[in-house]
Amino acid sequence: MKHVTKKLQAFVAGELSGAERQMVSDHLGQCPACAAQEVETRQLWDLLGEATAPSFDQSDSAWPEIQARTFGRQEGTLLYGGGLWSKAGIAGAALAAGLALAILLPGNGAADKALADESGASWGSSFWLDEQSDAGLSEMWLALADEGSDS
Amino acid sequence: MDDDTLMARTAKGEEAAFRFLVQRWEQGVLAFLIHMLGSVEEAEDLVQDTFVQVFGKAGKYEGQGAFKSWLFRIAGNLARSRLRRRKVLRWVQFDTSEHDVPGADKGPLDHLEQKETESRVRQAVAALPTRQRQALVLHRFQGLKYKEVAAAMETTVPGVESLIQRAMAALRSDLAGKGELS
Repeated sequence: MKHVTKKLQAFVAGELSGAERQMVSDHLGQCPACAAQEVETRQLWDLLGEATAPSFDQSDSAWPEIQARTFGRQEGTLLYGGGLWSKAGIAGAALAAGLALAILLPGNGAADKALADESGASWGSSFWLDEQSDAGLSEMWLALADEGSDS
Repeated sequence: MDDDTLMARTAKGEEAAFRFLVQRWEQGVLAFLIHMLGSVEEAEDLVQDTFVQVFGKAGKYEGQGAFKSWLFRIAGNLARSRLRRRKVLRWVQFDTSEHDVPGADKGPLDHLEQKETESRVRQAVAALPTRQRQALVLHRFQGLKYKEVAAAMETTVPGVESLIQRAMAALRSDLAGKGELS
């Protein structure tokens, strides 16, 4: 008589097809050793069933966090160049670009003086902004940088 | 509405469909992750990560009725990745007291005894090797069929059968030693 030990787990779990199930069932009726093992397997199977994780009510739902990380992010982002850029990221990039251009592009004496007067700082007349620079450009980039830092 | 339809609508950006999907499955995913990680806190983190990945991959989903396996594959991969980083499973006993109500036919002592048994079983499950634990939890606790477990774990049905058999043998030995099995 061929024992069905290896099939018992699947038998208890209801994973056997009709024919296989019938074969195991028939065998258990004739084999006390396999029948005892089937009882043991079922006992453990039932014991496991009592140890499921606790259930939580809907007030514990993770939806608000998930929403913020999916649809919430979509609302606060712009599709740009195939990637997701947040508004804060774009503002930061604009600020950095503005500062870089302010350094690289020639400045203007009048604009620099106005800036220096307003902030009380003296960097407008420093080497950062050249006396011979174009007023329109430096003002535009500084305005952009301000706008970026505000958003 | 079935899961595939909800996924198709999620892929089109329909928030209500995604919300419905999350609410349908989050408890199952949380329970699975608690068993995998042994920590409610970490499991809650990974529930979020799982659904964020589901959302991100919604456009590529071609489940054809196998959403459950696909979902638990994502959750299982995240759990295994977390365990690899952690190296050693740290089982934190989770407090179920606020969720458990003694059965009408059971007194406080029976209830206490039952909780102790549950705790020992959970610890025995937590001590299983990761893949055995994953197969067992998906099958026994989440109700996935061998075929679905195989899809979730990217293995074969005989492979799942073997994992579960070995898991059960280990549990039998562990729990018999603790007097939980006659």
